[in-house]
Amino acid sequence: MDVPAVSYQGLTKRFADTLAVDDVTIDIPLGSFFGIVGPNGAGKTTMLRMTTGLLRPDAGAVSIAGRDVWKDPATAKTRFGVVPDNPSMFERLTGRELIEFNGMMRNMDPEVVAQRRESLLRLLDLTEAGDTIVADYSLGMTKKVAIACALLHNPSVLFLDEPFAGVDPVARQTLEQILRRHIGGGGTVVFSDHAMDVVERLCDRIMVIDHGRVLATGSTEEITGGRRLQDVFVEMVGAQITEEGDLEWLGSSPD
Amino acid sequence: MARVFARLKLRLITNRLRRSTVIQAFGFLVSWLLAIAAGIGLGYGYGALLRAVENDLAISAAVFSLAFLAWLLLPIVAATLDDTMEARQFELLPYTSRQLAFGLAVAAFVGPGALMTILMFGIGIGVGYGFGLIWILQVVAAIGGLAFMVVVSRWITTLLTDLLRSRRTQEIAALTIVGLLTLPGVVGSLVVAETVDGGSGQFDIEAVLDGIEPLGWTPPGVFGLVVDSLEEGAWGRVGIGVVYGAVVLGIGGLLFARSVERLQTRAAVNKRSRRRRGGITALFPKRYPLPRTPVGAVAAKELKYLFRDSRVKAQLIGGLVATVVLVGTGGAALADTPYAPFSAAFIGFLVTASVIPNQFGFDGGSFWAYQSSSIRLIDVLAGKNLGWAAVSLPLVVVAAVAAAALSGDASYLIAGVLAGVSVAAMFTAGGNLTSILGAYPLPESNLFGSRNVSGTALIFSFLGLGLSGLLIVPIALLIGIPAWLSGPLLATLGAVAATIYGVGGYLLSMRWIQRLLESRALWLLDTIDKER
Repeated sequence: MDVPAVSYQGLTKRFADTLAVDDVTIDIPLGSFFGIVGPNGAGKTTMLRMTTGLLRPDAGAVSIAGRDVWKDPATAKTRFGVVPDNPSMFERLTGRELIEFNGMMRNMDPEVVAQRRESLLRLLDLTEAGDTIVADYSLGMTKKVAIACALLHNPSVLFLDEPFAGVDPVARQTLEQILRRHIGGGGTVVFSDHAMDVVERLCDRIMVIDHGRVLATGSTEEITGGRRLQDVFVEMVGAQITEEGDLEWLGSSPD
Repeated sequence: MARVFARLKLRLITNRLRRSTVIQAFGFLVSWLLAIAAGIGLGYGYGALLRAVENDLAISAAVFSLAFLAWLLLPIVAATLDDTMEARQFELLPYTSRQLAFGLAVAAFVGPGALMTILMFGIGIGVGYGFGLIWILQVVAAIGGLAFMVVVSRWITTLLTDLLRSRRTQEIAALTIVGLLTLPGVVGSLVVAETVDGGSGQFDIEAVLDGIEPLGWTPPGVFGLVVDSLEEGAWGRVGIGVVYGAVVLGIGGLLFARSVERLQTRAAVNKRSRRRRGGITALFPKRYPLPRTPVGAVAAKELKYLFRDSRVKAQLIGGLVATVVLVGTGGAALADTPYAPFSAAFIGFLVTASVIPNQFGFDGGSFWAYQSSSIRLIDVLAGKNLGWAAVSLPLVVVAAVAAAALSGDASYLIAGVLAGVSVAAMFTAGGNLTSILGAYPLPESNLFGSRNVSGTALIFSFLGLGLSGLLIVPIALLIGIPAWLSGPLLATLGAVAATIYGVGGYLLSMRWIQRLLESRALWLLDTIDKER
């Protein structure tokens, strides 16, 4: 039996009185494009932070390609790349220097780093901007360079938290192509996003999470059942419909 | 209006206290108690000075001027415990710039800084001049002075916030701040130079007081003049002082309101993006043979930041300028002796002390990159130390050689260099510990430091500095006693022992710190990442 790309066993995290992630047990198969969807505060980011060694779980375990992230972090961290939401980078380095820095931090061969850096910059259309300080990049360029840093060591799993938020359509297209290429090469992508159309179009497997609990998980077809993911999602999380009378004042002349 | 802003500020303070851990809450309360203790202590000091000397006007004018200087500089250069409200947080609310400036100034009155200042003035005036009916009027005048300090302080920080949105002006601001910081030292040394009696070398206190009396007619000093004139019953001077004080307070308020309006209505301008010249950029500098390892990569990144990050640049230049000022004034006596090379130890201390105590804090929100990669945090720390050593150690050597050349005696050169290296190594060890226990976020592009530093960080910073100071004492003893007893040869042998102590202590501390880092890694991430 294949070792899953990511395996969660009873993963739990509590912040004071709030149960952010509640006993999540799920396997993400190798080579899948896995989408995590849920409303704001559902626990998506908390889950990704616990998966990538940025937040210690209260209970349970998470392993990447068979390596426990919290018992054997050094090995597990060689197997994944991560792009958090709104990634804060070492912005006084140029794009080239930043990618090189990430490679050297991972103890990679300098020649391999240089070779991969140039091909990633070319692929991401950042060759010209490679010698510009990252602080002067647009949001789309920053996300692209963050993905280059995450891909440099050729991880088997790539975690992305809202990678398309604030990114223009051209940059989005490029990012999508790269992620598909990563899947094509045998890699796994796990990402969270609010854009249901993107998740539906890209992902072959989906997990719906709310209040830290997994509401549904399975293939995209199983989850949607031929309907739009947006409709299924709203139904699952129980959107609150406001009574019209509550908002009678809205749009009337200010006092 | 005033009540809304004052209540909002109180709510911010209580909310922060509520979401703190027990140790953070303890640190927070201790820092407030320290502010109260400092206010009382400084107040008694001010009062004692008034009772000790004849020229009360000079003392009051000087105290008000110094308090003004503190209000001007501390919010710019020091991380503060205060939950400062910024104009940009209110830019979409229907307030005019004058209303907003007034509200922000009122809010600034609710905090440890204002409490400390009011205590200092209230107690100082009471102890020095007496607690009578006049005391009430004097305290009212002092509160007017505090209002002026608050308004000008907020004007400067708002102005800088506006300027600093442009990255080009960040560089200029960094250097300006360094200039402002050295100003008191330069002025102080000039006053001392002017007032020391040339014949006897005695310090003439009356001459100093006469020299600073005109401060009473400067904008901050005039409030001290009113306080003193009330006691003297010089009502004419009181009247002039009150009018003068009201005018400068009004001008300060208008300038603050204008800077608030400018900040809200003017877009940040970054005219050009900074593309590095000279072909393809590389992380590792050609001139330094840094190892192609994770440690070397972090050192290379730190060296890049040295020239590109205003915060680090300001710290380094500040350290250098302060050194020149201090050596040029206080250390002049050392220059003519064979002990001059030991100034290298002082350089080692200053340059290291300027950055080392909060190394992870400089990474701000970027700290996650270390934690999510396979690099060990001890290697990150070692890389940071290596990067800084690549700058500080050459400075130590250059300083020792230059000082030896100026003194005309090279006999203590090797001992001086070794003293500098030992001091830098031991101070780095203490700084590493402080960087872990007392880390606070200092995000990039932020010369003001963090607005919400926990009191715990402040306490650990003080403890770390104290500990580093204690660890340096054996170095001074190992070199100083042989130099005093025997001369350069024995001093050099002592310096070798000091180097073994300093460098060995650093290496040993790294082994212990490695374990500490493993347990504190997520705490560091949580603490440093807060400003994102």
